[in-house]
Amino acid sequence: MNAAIKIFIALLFVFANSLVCAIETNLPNISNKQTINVVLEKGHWTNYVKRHLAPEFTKITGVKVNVIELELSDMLTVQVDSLIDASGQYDVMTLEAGWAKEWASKGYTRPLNILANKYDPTKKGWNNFLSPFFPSLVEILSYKDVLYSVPYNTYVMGNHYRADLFENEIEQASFYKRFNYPLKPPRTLEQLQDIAAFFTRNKGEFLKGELLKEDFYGVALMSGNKPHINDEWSSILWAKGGHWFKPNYDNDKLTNFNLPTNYDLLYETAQYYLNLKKYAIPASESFAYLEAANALSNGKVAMWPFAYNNLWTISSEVNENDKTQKFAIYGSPGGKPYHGAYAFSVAYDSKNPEAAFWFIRYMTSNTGQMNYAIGGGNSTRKDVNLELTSNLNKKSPQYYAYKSTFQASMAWSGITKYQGHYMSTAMGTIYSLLQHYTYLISHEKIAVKAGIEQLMTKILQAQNEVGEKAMVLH
Amino acid sequence: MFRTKIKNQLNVSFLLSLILTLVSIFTANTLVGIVSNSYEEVIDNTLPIMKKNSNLSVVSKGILVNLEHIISNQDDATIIKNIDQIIISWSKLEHLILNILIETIPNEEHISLESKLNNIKLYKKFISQFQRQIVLKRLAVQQSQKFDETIKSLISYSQKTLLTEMELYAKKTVYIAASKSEQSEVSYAYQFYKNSNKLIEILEKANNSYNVNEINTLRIQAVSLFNKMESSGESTFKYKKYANSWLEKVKPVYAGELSIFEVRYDALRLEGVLDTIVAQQTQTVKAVESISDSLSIKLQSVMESTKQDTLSTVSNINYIFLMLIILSISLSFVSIWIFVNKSLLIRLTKIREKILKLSKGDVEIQIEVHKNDELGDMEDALGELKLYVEKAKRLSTRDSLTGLLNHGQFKQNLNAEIKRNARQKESISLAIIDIDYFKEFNDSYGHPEGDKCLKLISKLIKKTFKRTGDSCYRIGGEEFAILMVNTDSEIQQLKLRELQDEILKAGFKHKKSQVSEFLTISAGIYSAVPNENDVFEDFYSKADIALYEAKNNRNTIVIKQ
Repeated sequence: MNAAIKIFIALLFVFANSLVCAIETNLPNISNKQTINVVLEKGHWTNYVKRHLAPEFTKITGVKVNVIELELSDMLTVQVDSLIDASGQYDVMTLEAGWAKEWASKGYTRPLNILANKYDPTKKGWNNFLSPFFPSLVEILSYKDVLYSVPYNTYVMGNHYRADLFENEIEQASFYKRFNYPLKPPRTLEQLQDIAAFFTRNKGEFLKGELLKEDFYGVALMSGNKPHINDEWSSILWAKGGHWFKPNYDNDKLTNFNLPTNYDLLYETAQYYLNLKKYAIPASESFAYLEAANALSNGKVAMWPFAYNNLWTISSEVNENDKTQKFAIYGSPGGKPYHGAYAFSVAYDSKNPEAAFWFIRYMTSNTGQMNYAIGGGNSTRKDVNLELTSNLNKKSPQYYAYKSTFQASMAWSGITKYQGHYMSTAMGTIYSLLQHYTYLISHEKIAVKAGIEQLMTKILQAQNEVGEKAMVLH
Repeated sequence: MFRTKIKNQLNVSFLLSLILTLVSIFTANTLVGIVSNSYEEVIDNTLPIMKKNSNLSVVSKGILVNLEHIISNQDDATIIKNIDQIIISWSKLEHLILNILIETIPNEEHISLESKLNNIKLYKKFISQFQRQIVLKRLAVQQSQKFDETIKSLISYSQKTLLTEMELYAKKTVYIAASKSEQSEVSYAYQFYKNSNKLIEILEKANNSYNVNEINTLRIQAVSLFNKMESSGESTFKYKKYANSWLEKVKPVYAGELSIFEVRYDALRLEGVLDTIVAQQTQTVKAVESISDSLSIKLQSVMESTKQDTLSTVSNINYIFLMLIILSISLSFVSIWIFVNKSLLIRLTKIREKILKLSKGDVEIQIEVHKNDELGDMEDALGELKLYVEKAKRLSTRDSLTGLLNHGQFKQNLNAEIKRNARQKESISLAIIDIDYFKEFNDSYGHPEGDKCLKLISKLIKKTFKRTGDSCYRIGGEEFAILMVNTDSEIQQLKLRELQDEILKAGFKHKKSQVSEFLTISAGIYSAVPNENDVFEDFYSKADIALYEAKNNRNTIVIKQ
């Protein structure tokens, strides 16, 4: 697609959503002025919300916003405990996309269409509200075809890499000589393995024709005991055409789930990860996205192949020690990167659901998302994404991040419903299981076969004990 | 020729019959064997599968009953009993299917059963998870049921305390001039009591709801109402004490991990999940039942087919058997017929006939030796006997010296020819020949030379009268007769002259003859067409008279008409 067509599409989106934007930025008078408590994930993008967007909302509506920052690892339990106790502690919840269906099914979050009917005086805005969002995200965040959460920060993955290494003629020649194909950002998992192996070098060897003063690694993997490890595994598994578990439908109605008929692709994924890890920078138990982003920006690795695109601001930081270092983003190898977003929901026990609803509308409006993007966030809206990619410098990290986000998000359109991962109401529980077992297997604390089999048994148990639909055995 | 005794022939014949009988018995036995094998095959191959298949159906039905009991909210003891039963039944079913799969069954059922076997293995593998699922659902349902009591207690408190206290405050304001604060408290109490009923109603509804969306909506209403009730009223209100107490009671019902909403949601969710799992297991069991039915039908069909095949084979072999029996009987009959009738009776009869003919002097019988056996010996002996009879007969009709027919034969033949020629009106010509001066010859040359003379004359007579129908006889010492049929006297005379010439040519010296130096003969001829009443003497006497006349001149032929 050439640039002119892209600009045309972007303008079309902007025009189509202009009315919606007008409604969202011209927020109605909110009758309930009670302060709202908003949970956000701790991070640089949250600082921007705190400093700019939340005060802006208060200025427009007169409703104060109290931002509560939580680490991702605490976000689930802290918020769920509050919801179970009906304490009314939080009005706007932040949730990982995978939790959305479970929370909705348990009644922790409010259906947004009902809130729109109640609080949107024109009601027209709501009808058009969903269309600018990446369809795959809307699908993930809906429960029984009703939207319960609105995505505000997508973390779809891309391959963040050192463009200077890939463009280096010495490296290109050397790579071609060794692998007999040109050195380019990997499109497939096999290429990723080759390139990771190629760039992994010991101290004293040469990189870009210069002597290395310390060991250099092909990739950074988030292999610490954090939730992110399973996102990497999922990206590999899905790229191989596999799935953790699969939803079954009857006339488009979700009926149940089942585990894979055989675990071959899961074993392959495990083995692939273990092999790839040989070329990864050593990771401690706490090694996750920040460490991986820093490893890339600090010039310790050639690629961060399964990087959250919303971390482009960190992974693209200029390395003061190597001014020749160039950052770029390409699609994650295999083309099925982990996909999702942080999303906002109105808590069922919110004491000010009206303000909570409009805060979400404001944050996820074109203006809100545009501002959020400027602050380093990764917009979940196609229109914002296209507008930015049309305007941004084509060599800028943000451009790469937005381009990669757009491509990866659109690649998931219409197919998230075929992954149990995105359709189960037990994902909150299963997500933890995935983290636990992928970590154990990746660090060879358990054998591949035994680990996968235990994981599958646990997933089955979790789905049947926590999920709304059964995990059937065949 | 190879010699075969009659006894041996008889033995061969009986042996052949015996063999054919044995072949028939063997064939009959084979038929019985086929039928027997067919039934054995059915018994060995089909019946065990039928039995296992029948058990498959029985066990399947049992599992269906157990599964039904599990989801029908029965008491714990019944559920535990049914789970235990299911665990045993899955193993039984697996064992039965494995046993059926090792048998030869139709491919379609084999594949289906294998697939269901894999399902059953999965059920067995995850049976503890299944048990856990049942227990969790049971606990959730029980917990849900307990809320009925809790709600009753809330209602009771609401009616007995909240309502009563509210009425007390209201009465006070009626009889005493109430302050603004007191009026406000009454209003609060009334509102609180009203809301308490509303909240109870919401909780009751939630506890009986089967709709998750409805439960979630009720939850929002409940928390909103609770918050409203909690935040309303002044802390100085005396009624607040009862209100807070009620709120304390209701708090764990609507909030917390064991809230009415959490529990109800869990009950519905776990029930739905369990229903799906049980439905799948039920589906598998029903499929097994269906396969079992299909297999049963096919096995019956196989049995029917085996029966038809057997009947067809038996029918085919039966034809062969019948043919064999017929052949056996026919061959036995033929062999006996060949032996008894042909080899014995016919030959014996023929031999008898030949013996009888031979005994009457008929030597025209043909005697052949058919077989080298005892009857063959008899035939052989009969042949010998025939030769003797022929010789004896020859000796009785012919002259032993000359070999010509004798006088008896002459008389017999002449009589026969007279009769025959009289019927046919044909002439007979009889010549009587006498050697001239034969007594003198004998006297002169001796009897041996006389015999030689007789032999010579006889030889020349036979040579001259060799035409068919001519017959020559020695009717006396030196007297001969020649009978010619269909012949007149002139022809016979010519032939006699020819004989005279031959005798002369022979040059037999007769020095005592007065008419020639060589031997001569005289002959008298009588030729006529005989009457039916003529007899031998009529012809003989006339020919003899002619000879008598010829003898007067010697070496002469006289014809008597």
